[in-house]
Amino acid sequence: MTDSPIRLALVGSPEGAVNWRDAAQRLRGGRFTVAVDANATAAAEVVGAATAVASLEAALKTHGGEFDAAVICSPHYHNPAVARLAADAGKHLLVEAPVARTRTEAEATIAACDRAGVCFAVGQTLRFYPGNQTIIDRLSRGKLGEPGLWRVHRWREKQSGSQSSLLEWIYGDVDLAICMFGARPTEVYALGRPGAGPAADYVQLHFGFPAGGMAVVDYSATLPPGPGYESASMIGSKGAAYADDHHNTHLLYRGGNPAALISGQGRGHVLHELQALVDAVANQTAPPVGGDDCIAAHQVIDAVVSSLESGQVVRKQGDRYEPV
Amino acid sequence: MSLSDRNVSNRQDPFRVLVLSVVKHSYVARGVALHPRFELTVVADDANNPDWVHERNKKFAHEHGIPYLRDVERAIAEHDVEVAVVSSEADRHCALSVRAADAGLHVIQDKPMSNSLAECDRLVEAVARNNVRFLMWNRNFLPAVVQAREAIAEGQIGTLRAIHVDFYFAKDAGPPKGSRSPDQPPIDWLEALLAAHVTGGDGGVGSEPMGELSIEGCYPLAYLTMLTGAKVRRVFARTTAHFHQLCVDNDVEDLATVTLEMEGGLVGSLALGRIGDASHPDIGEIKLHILGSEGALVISEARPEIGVYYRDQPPQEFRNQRLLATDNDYLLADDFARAIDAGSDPILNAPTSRAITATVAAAIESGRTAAVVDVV
Repeated sequence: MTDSPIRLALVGSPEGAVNWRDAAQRLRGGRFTVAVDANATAAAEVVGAATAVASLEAALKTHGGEFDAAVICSPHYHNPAVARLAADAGKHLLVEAPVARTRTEAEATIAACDRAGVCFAVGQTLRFYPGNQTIIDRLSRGKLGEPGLWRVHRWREKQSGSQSSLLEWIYGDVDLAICMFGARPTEVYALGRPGAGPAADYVQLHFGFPAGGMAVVDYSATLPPGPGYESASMIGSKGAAYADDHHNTHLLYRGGNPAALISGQGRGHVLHELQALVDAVANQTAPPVGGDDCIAAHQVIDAVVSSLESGQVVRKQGDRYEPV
Repeated sequence: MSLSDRNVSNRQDPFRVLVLSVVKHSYVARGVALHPRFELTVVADDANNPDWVHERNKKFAHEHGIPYLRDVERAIAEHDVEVAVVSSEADRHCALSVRAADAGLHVIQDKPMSNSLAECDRLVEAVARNNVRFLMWNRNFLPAVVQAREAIAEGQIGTLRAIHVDFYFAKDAGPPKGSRSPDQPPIDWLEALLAAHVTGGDGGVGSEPMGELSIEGCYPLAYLTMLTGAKVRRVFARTTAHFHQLCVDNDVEDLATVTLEMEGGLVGSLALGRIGDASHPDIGEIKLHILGSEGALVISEARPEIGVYYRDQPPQEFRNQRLLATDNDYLLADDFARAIDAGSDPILNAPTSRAITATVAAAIESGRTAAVVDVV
């Protein structure tokens, strides 16, 4: 374990940097020292980094001694190249999910980290959200018994312009479901409309897990402009947990039917995942969400795509998924 | 006077009701009795039933001050009845309802319609052939469900796209899974369900074990059918005995999820289970999540409700009491009276009940085969 603070480089957009501001202030044992972005000065100011650099190549060349780990929150289609560059330079990594566009790209990134002997951690996975942390904690302590049913509704407003890819949409929940049940699903069935591509505005996932476990997750991008809606419940053999915007709603009266004011879960998850990286690097331990988790999520997402395309159940056969 | 002569729209005198077995829930017959257009007249069942059946029938008859006859045909012949309320074991539902329909009686039946699709078909045919009305008891008039229906009908969320129903009962069903030692025999289904009568947890009473999809699936699928008007075409389901040794020993599910593919590209899901006393402070989360082209609805079926908590509160006492829940019973009976008067369909008729049973059957098969199953 090292007593020196872990020095971090934030690699990404200023919009992404805003997400890290509170975490940067509250982080223990680590601090941002470098910001890498086309508009790096703004990003550096947000997270309190002393050095602002326009590109990772430049950061590694001229400021490589100023950071130990790279926090990569660039778009996922840039992530593999950026991550491999940092890993090859011996930097530990926290890469926002989805880590890559494909499983092959993700495997290459993880292999680069393994070769360099650096930590590879995955961020923005939903695992660190306070509600999910509570459920994971209660499951791991046996309070809820064996996980039986994980049910999620995740709705948001209609998307204008560029839409999220299926990968971006479902990665976090796929990873979370695997985490909840401690295994990849044995069966995968998915519905989508009008297709699995970027134009899809609705996706529904149905997973079967070993020992009878099951998960149903639906995504919609059809709400009118405004806040989204999220609901999650875990039904275990001894108890259940419910995290539901419906339960966390206040009322605003301004005439007519009252408006709903939904309390979100804040941004505490950003600090948690950053702290997990810093602790893993400092203690030379595995991060809570690492390469194996990333590959497992990609395998299941590939199975989801297969089910969407075939309209059939896709079943786990050994280490692979095959249509039934 | 023939039955058809009685079915005139301006009639206001009560329909004479035959309670045709009341061995499970008595809430159907009690609910019917709440309405001034119905008058419980006689309880009847077949003589060859076991003693516990007769005891329960007799007890109900005694409570209502009406006779109990161990002869169904005699009861029909001697008591000039017009409506039969069937609340027997599920495996006798259809047989009794068919006999009632063949005798020209309108029928109100407890859920499920049957565990056999062939029996459902027989009942649908009997209802049509005898031109009588059939109502499957349901919860579609609960105020929250009515509010959802009105919002959809008014077009407040646009065209329906997806509908999801959670239907959990936070009730135990005997000892938990894993509690039976290897030297103990499996729990006997009928014995366990007979014992559960005092708590009202005997919805699956009968000789044939039934999972939660069969016992309770009618309710959420009735919501779904009423709100969408669409038939379910395909299902994919996961089913398991996750909580209760009773369900493990009898190879039936106490937890299930069903992906639903419906007419018109409508999709949805059902999550359902008897999830144990400890899993919810109320009777269980029962919710509808409905997506439309222009908006969405999130509905809690239990509301409006009032929470009452106090020191030394008995653990079995409901802490959250539904308000207006008994309206559902009255409105169902009212709907049925109107259906008889007008010769129209009630809110949940025989063909729709059969379609719901077919969806349940397909889900159970899907749960066993882990494959997508067409609803027939």
